[in-house]
Amino acid sequence: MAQPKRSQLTIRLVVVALWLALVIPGGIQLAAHRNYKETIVLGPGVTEVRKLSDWAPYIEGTTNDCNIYVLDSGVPGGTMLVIGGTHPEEPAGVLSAVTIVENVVPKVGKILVAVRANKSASTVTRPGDAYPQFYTIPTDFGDRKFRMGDRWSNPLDSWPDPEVYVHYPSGQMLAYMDVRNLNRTWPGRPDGMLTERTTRAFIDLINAENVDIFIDNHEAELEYSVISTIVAHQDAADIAAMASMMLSAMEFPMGMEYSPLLLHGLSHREVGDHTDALALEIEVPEPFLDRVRGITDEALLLEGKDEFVMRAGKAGLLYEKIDENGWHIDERVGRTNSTIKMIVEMYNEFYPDRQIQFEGLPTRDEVVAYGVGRYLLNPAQVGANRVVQD
Amino acid sequence: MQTVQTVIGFLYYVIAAVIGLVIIANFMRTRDAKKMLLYAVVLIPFVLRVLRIK
Repeated sequence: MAQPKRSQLTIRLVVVALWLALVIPGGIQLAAHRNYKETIVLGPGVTEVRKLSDWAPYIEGTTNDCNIYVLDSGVPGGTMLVIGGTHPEEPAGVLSAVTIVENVVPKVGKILVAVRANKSASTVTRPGDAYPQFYTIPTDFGDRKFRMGDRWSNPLDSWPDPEVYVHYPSGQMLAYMDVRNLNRTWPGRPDGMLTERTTRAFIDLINAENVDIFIDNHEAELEYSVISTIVAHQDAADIAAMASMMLSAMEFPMGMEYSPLLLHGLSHREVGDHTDALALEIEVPEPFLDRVRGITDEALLLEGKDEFVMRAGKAGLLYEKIDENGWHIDERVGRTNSTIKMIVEMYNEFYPDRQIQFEGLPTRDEVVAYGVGRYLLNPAQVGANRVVQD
Repeated sequence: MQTVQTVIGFLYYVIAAVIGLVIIANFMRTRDAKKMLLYAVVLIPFVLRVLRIK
C-alpha cells in the first residue's frame, strides 16, 4: 500500500534504523566468533608446535594451516596422529585432543595432535539451528572458553560449492556441501578446494612422519547407527576389535565396525588406503546433534540432556541409550580418551617393535569423577612461551 | 585449478554485490512500507557475505 511522501520518508528512515540496529550488533558477534583465538596450554609432554604447512606448503596462508602439537619422547618407537575438530560441532573430539596436548607425557615414540583439524569449520556455526557460538568448561581457576563450530568449512573460505561434489580420486558423487566436509574429502589434492587441500596436507604429514596409528575423534547423534563405536580400516580391524572387546568387558560398551569399502572420502577409508597408517575413527554419543532435540543451547551441548531425544529413545528410535542423566561432556571426553588409550595398548601388542607409550591421559573414570576441567591447565600459571593460540 | 576457483569465487562476490545494489535500489524506489521491510530483510545475507562476515 502506497504511503504519502512525507510518511514514506519517515518509514524508510525507521526501516534503515532498525536494519542497522539488527545488522551491526549481529555482524560484530559473527565477526568476533570468526576471529576468536582459542588458548591452548602446552603440557609437559609437548616438545614442539609446528604448522600443518610445514609438511604441505600449499596450505600456508589459509585458515586451515592449523597447529600440529608434537609430543616426542626422544625414544625410538611408533608414531600416532590424533585429530580433533574434523567436525567442530562435536566438542568431545576437540576437548579430548586438548587433554592430550595438556596432559600426556610420551615415554616411547612420538604423538602428533591437531586440536582443530578443520579450523575453517570452527569459525562458523549454524545460527539457523540456534547453535551457541561458544562453550565454557569450569575449572579450579575459572572458566576455559572454547569456540563451537560447524560440520562444514566456512563458506567464506570455500565458495561456491559445486552442484555435485565429485570425490577425488574415486569419482564418486557426493552431496554438494560435502566438498567442505573434512570427513568426505580424504585423501584430497594439493590444488583442490580448501578442505580437499587440508586432507591432502594431513596425508603428506602422515607419509612424511611415517605415522603408524591415525585416530580421528568424532561424536554422533543418537539417531545415527554409527555410534559408540570404533570404525576401522581393514588393516586396523584386529586392533579395533581387541580394543572394543577390552573396553566393553572392563569399562563401557564400545562397538567396532569396518570402514565401508565403497564409501569414499572418509578418513578411516582413505587414510588406510593411501598411507601405511592404521586408520581408526572414534564415535561417542552427542544428543546435541539429534534432529529431534529441543532447546539447542550450551547446556545441551555440555550436559547432553534432552527430553525429546529421551522420548525418541523410549519409542525405540535411537541407536544408543539415553536417560535423565543424558550424555555429559565429561562422559564423552572420557570415553574418547579411554578408547585412544586402549587402541594404543592393543597396537603395542600387535606391533611390539614400533611401541608407543605415554602417561597422563585422563581416562573415562577419572574425567567423569573430576570433570574435564580438572585436566585443563591454567594459562596464567605457565610461562608465555607455553601458551599458544589455535 | 586454484586460479579457476579464485576467479569463480570472486565472480560470486561480484554477483552478491550486484544483487545487493539492486535490492537497495528497489528499497529506495518502492512506496510500500511492507516491501521496504521485505527488501531490508532480504538485503542482510548479501551484505554479510560481501563484507565477509557470514
